[in-house]
Amino acid sequence: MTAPELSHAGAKAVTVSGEVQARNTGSLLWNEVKSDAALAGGQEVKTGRGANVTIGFEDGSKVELGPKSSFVLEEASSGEAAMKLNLGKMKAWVTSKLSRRFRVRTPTAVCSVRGTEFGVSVAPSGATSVDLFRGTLGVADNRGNELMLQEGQRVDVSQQGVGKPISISEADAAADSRERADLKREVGLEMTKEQVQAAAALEMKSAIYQQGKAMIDVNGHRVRIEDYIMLPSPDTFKLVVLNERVDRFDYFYYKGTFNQTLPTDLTTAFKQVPGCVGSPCQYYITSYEVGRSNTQDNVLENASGGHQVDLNSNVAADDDVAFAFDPSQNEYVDVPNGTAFYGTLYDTYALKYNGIAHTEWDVAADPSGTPTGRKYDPTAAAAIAAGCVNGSEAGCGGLRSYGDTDADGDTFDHATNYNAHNMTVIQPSTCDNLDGPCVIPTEIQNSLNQSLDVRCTELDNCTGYREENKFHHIVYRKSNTGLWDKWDSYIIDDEGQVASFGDFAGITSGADYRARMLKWNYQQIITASEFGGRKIDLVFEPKVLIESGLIQ
Amino acid sequence: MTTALQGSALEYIPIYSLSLLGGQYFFTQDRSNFHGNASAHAVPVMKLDEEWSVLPLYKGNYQGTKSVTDSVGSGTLFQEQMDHRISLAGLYTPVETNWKFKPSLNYKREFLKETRDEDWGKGLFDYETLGLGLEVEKVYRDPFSVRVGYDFYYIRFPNYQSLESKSGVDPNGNPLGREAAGTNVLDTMNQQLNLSASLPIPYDDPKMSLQTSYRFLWQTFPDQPIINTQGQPNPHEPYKRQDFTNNLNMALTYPRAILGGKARTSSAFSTGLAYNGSNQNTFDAGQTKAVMDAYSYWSVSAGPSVSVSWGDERRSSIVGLAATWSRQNYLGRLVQNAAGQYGTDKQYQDRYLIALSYSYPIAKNFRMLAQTNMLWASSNMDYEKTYRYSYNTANYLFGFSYDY
Repeated sequence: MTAPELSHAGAKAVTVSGEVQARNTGSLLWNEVKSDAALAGGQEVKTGRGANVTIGFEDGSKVELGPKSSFVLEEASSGEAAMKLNLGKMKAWVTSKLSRRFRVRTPTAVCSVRGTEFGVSVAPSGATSVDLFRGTLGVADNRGNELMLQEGQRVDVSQQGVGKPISISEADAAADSRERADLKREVGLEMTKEQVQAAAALEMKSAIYQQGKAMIDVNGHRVRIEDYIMLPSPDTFKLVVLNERVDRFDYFYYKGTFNQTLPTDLTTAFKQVPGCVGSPCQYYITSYEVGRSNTQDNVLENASGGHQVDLNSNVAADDDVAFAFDPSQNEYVDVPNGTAFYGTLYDTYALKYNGIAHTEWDVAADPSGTPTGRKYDPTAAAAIAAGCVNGSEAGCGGLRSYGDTDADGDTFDHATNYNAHNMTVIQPSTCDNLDGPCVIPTEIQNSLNQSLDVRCTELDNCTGYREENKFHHIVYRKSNTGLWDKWDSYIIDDEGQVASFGDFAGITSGADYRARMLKWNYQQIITASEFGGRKIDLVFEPKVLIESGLIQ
Repeated sequence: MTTALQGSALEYIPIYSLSLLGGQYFFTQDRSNFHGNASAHAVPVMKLDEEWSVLPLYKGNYQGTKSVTDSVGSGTLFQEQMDHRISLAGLYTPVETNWKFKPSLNYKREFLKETRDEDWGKGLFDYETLGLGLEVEKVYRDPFSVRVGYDFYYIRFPNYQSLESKSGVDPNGNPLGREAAGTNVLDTMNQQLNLSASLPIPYDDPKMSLQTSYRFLWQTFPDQPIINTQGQPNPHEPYKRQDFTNNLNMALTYPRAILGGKARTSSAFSTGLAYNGSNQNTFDAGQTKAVMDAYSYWSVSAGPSVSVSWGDERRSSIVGLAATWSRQNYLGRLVQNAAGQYGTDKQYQDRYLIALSYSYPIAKNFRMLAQTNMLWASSNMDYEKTYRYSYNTANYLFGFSYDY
């Protein structure tokens, strides 16, 4: 594209930056304007985004047209320079030696000048703002009102007429302030988006906390917890508890097989697992497996041959049930004296650490391993003589799920059916008298039936409460063959604080104690001779152990 | 004196803000150590011409003293949070109209340390968001306007994957996880529609202004399957969690001069209504209890606020006081007693928040700040072994801010 043909030029484009175009009056065709191109009266000039053009006149006066402006050079003769700014901004430097008139019109104002430096801007509405930087300037509106603008003043002219002159510096400051306020508002709106997004993220995080999936353990480390139920077959469930810390992963699972297909509403079967008052349970577990692992080491408990026995009418008094967990009420209830209570007894049991048995029995087989059809009976000889078959006969029943590892309280025929591998619970040789004979409150001792438990303030490898006034309990067993295992248990809140005996104050019974325990968490740290110095470190709800029958 | 026509070249308009505060957080009978909070943002606005501006924004925040409205789960007293956000927003204001068009792109990363063994970048609940949006605003009577906006953003928790997805097998070789379990269960795709307007009251000679806004948020959880009544994740692809949230907020503000113009007050009353509908259920394995429609809720909030300022308008002292009550009612989430037993009532929580603040100008753009916030929460949910529903909390902060 070439520059337009301009005749008898009175002005020319001195400098051009960006897209600048011009057209003659009446023409529809716009042509590019280049530097030094001549401009004549009647031509219209427009500038694009970011563009500007400086137009020089014969006497040295010049006009700079800003970006996105529209300008008509009405007259550029030796006697007069007249122009109309339709839109945008312009600035003019008018030499004082100019003997002709220099006039700038806008849709709303007329500026007549001599020896002046001034700027004009026109808004789409036609509203005009005139700044006078040097000299004097007459500004008139369309109604014929005119004022003389003084150096350093600005005046706005609208369709309503010419306004009141104000200081340019103050006006600029006010405009800057408004612009800054507008931009700050935009920044504020942008930040509001962030708040909405952050609220959405916070909502998800809170849901995780509310479901108890994240908490702090006793060592101040975050532990993530997930627990869920799997249904591997119609009559089997698997309750899984997963723990993750920054540097380790531990898990617990309880896999139980019921005597029949599970109902759609699992609670119908689960609530009968701890046992049933008055009549045999419709649903009971016939075999189970409990696993605890750090993904490298494991502790596995297996039991089978589960059968229902009225524990309150067999010959073993020590297994009588005076209170029982009632899942329908989610609390312990008293079982009145003389009332039948049906629990599940298992014929085989094994507790193994990395595959090495520390405790096991099998009453269903004779010492040679030949099946006998017997059911578990704490008074073995009598039961065998009585032909215990389904466990409900008089004289059958006794030891329940976990295994009475110290063989205390039952008269089971250990010589033939029980193999504790000579594991012995190590008790401290003397009671720690630091805070009295035994620091555990009497009511807790009574409720736990743990009158032998005392504090072990000096030794880790003994059984008892490790910290003064705290529910931090250790069970340590060892054998004369070099096997040992240790269960280091804490009752903690979700911040990892260990419960104190004071938190369990006022307890009057074992039922009370266990009900109180439901409000806390369990942390179990298991070590054993097979683990090579490693540990299994689990945090879970005691409810998991209670419902699965691991805590009675 | 202006020496060149504005808009003919790239113009920078810097906007900066910095605040440094220190204080403590209180939760029931416990209190945190003294910690500092710091936040800053920088926006070197680039004005390309009369119509186009670009707002590149950086915002950084460090929080050592918790806010009273933060969640109260683990790490209640010990918590450090840091976030960084960058965004690029355009502002297009066509000269022929009073419209504004605002496309934006933003990214944020938040780091959260809630335990002493978590390093920056390793926090379980660290998250990042990537979003883009467009807002259109019509200034129908300066400064009153109507805005319509759409945002799409992705929230990702890079350190949070379900444990089940990485559980492997038990010692007998049987799987520990369910086949259909999700992995990135917290990640969401979000689509949001915003409508807002400011209205002069009365229209011809406004004495008050009414701010109204409505927000519709559609959240999809691409990796969170629906849990059925037996606690099993639905293996079918279409059955993923979706939430729909509606928020309606209104605030009526009444500014006025008092004491012959020597002081100014701004009184406001705000209300909010929200409803969230979700298709997700939960299953409490410990209690063997399916909780249907566990995430749906509605909430309402209301409260007055007042601020009083005196002195020169650009350097005035300001005292602010705000009180807010809010209630959240879950539609399916059941209450539990202290032992965890489920009841039949649905959960609700009331929250009462009081915020008091004072700021004093000590130099141009430089202010001294002091604030305290108190929150009381109460709920019919009595099972608080893993999360507190009824509690009181407070914090105080004081320090300085610079705003340019």
